[in-house]
Amino acid sequence: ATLKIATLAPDGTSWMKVMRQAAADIKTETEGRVKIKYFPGGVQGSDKSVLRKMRIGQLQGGAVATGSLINISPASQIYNLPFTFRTLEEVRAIREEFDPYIVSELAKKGYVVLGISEAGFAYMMSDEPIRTSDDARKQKVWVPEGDLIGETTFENGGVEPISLPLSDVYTSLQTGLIDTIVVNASSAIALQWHTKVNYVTDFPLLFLTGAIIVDQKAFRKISTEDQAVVKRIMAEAFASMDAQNEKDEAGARDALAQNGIEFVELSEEDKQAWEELATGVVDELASKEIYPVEVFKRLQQRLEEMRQEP
Amino acid sequence: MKQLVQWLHRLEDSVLVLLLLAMIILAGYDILARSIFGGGVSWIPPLLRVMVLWIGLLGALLATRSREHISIDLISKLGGPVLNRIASTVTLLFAAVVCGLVGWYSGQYVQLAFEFQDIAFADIPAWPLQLIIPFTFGLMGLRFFIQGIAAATGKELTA
Amino acid sequence: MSILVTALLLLLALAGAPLFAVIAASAMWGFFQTEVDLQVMAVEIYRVAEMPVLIAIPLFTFAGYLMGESKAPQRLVRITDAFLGWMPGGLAIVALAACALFTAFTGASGVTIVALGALLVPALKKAGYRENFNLGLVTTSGSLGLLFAPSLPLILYGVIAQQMSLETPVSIDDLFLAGILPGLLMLTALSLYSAWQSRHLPKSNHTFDRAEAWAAIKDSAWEIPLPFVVLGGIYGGFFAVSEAAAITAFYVLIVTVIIRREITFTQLPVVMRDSMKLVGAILLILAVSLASTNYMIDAGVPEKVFDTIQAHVTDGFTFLLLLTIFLLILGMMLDIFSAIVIMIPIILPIAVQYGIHPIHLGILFLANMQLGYFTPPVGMNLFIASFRFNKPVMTLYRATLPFFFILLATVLIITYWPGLSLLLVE
Ligand code: NA
Ligand code: NA
Repeated sequence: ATLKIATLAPDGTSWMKVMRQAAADIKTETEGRVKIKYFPGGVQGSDKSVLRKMRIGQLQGGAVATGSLINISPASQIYNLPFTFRTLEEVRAIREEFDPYIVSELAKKGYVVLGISEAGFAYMMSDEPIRTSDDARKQKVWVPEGDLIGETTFENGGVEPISLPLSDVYTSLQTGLIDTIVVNASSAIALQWHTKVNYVTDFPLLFLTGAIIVDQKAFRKISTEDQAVVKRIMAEAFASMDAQNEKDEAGARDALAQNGIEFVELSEEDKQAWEELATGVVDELASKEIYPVEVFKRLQQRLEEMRQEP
Repeated sequence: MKQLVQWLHRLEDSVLVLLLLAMIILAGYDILARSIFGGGVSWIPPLLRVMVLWIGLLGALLATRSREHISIDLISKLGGPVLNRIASTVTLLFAAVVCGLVGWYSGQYVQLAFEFQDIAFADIPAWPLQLIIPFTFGLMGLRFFIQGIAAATGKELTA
Repeated sequence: MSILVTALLLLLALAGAPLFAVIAASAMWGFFQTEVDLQVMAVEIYRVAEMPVLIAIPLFTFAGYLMGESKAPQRLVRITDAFLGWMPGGLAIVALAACALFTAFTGASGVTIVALGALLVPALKKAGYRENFNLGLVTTSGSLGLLFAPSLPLILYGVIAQQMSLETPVSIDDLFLAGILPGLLMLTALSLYSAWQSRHLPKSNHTFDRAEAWAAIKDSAWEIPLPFVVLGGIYGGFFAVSEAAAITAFYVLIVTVIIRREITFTQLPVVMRDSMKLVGAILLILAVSLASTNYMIDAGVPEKVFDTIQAHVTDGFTFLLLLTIFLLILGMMLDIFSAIVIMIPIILPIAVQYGIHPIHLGILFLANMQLGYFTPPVGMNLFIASFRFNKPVMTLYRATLPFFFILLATVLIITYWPGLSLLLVE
């Protein structure tokens, strides 16, 4: 069987290289019974288009941002709420416990999750230093189109965000239509957005994740043994990608600093103010059924426990 | 029958004109909101893009009425009246079949979008917005078919 | 796709079948062969609603039609005549520059022909230029300016090239700089041709007349702010291309209908209807070609085509020549954004191995694509112009031919003289 998998990630990136290597390994180990064909660079359209094409069977899978899975299952959003995590260690510890939950929730909707990947922390980057939500209110803040979490976060802080598709961000930064973005370091550099900002607020706003999902009906056409091979090799590939990604993000941070971008440190007071704001956001998102409230409470509780530990 | 057709034409025209007016007003308001009030209205840009699809397809339907689609018109320039009539009939019926197929499969697709509760933007379901695809292609198919029959028989028919 | 089906579709196209139907049929046949559910057609057509830049098409088209129906072309002729009438080929050169500027902002989606063509063709005609020259000039200018900032294709190329982990980094600012000289080369070549063409025109015996110039300015008082508002707005960071289109549409609507009253309220729906007919014809082709492009990606057609070419290439010179031919064909068939997204990841690594600078490749790629817009027999702008000016496509083939050869020469210069692209960068 051939699994056609589409993604917005461009070809030639280290991420795609790992994915291609995994595909080659799968082909070898299954003696050619399972082939994976990638469509990188958004040639199959947006994440939404990719999900539509999976539904009609043109594609069997997609590597998508978890944000695009919101209408399939709110479970996919539990890592992406604002100011949830402070460090990558926290993310990793939580993932061990909560990844299986996301996987099983998506399975109920007919999707096999081959892997969840970390895309790093997103920071506020701007032409002016942003310390408080008052500072943010003076800025023209971009949020990705359809990003309900981002929109609600800023609206709660009294900021009317400007939503634009990804493709319009660079030009809009250039023309000044927007002057503040929320993005992870390596993407900011890859998209050249970093050339248009001067400051990074050094306090992670939210954690970004992506996932490869495959249509269950298509996946079940593969023999059980081969399914196991696909899952194992993909899991290994995703583990190595997370390690690579961590390195890339660290490198990108250095590159930002080298490019003369200043990292704005926040006082404890400011941090607390942001986290309080986040509580309001999380409550409001709960009423919109954007994420599973009970599970997220458990996640927060686990984090609290971890932070209490010496 | 003739009245029904006229009524349909008027409906298409009015929807198209109103859509374009709404588009100009909404796009203008969005700029004001962004540049003066400092924020945007998040549902306007995606709505504008759906309006582009609607205007495009309704415009295409209009172009079908007056046979103004983009084409390479070689045979009708070089061939005689008989060849011309054959070419017209064949190409119109071909276009009718193509539109019919696209319309049919789009209809199935919209049904699927309805069943899966596909979301377009905000809380708006996608299927009512996508309904324009089977509607316009179905009607274009019908128009091409009637024009094809007219070309074959040499009669004037309305669609 | 089997030869027979291809031949049949080609025949139908030549027999005058609507082009969108031919493209849709080829896509559906391809999908059917590869056992993809034909519901994919709806998914692809709906993608039209996912492309923000398309909003500019109906708005600019409407504004263009409205201006075309008003007396704006006469006023434009009057004012350019007053200021540039003494220059040989003055109006044609102004037309070229205006089109290039306009295309830089609209990304050559046919908007230039539609919005400015309606204005320039009657103006040029009135100034005494040959009809074929006017049609050729406007059709050609529809893609002129792709190399100038802030052209969207330039940005898109940069974004994709940056993802390729190349040894030579590609920054979008560098691409903006790199496009200037090649873009000016094209503009200059066409301007010289226009000046030469105008040698037959009756010599305008008036020298610069201050009173007439002032009268012309007053006459065009409502039109003059438009380019300043639009360009100032974009560069000043007040709005993006689609918003500039919205402002233009709004402004022109107010001026022509309410202030100047050159279009009555009863005429207005007719103009709207007519302009949207053209928008429909363009967007329908775009929508179905998204599907056929998608089939080609699905079946790996572009890769196969390129593999074959690559197998016969030994040196850089031949590679560039074959690349030019290949890109010309590609540019005729695909829209520029799909072409970039599909081909750059394949071509760029190979080109780098032939020693071509990634920035130079970007410029020559877009220069070729620009030519592809009006390459006979199927360049998109030929059909848009055919529709807009109600002329047979054959007339446009003839009209654009001299322009095609002039620009082909400049494309070859751009291709084989990397320094032209890289001079301002380094
Ligand atoms: Na642009
Ligand atoms: Na093209």
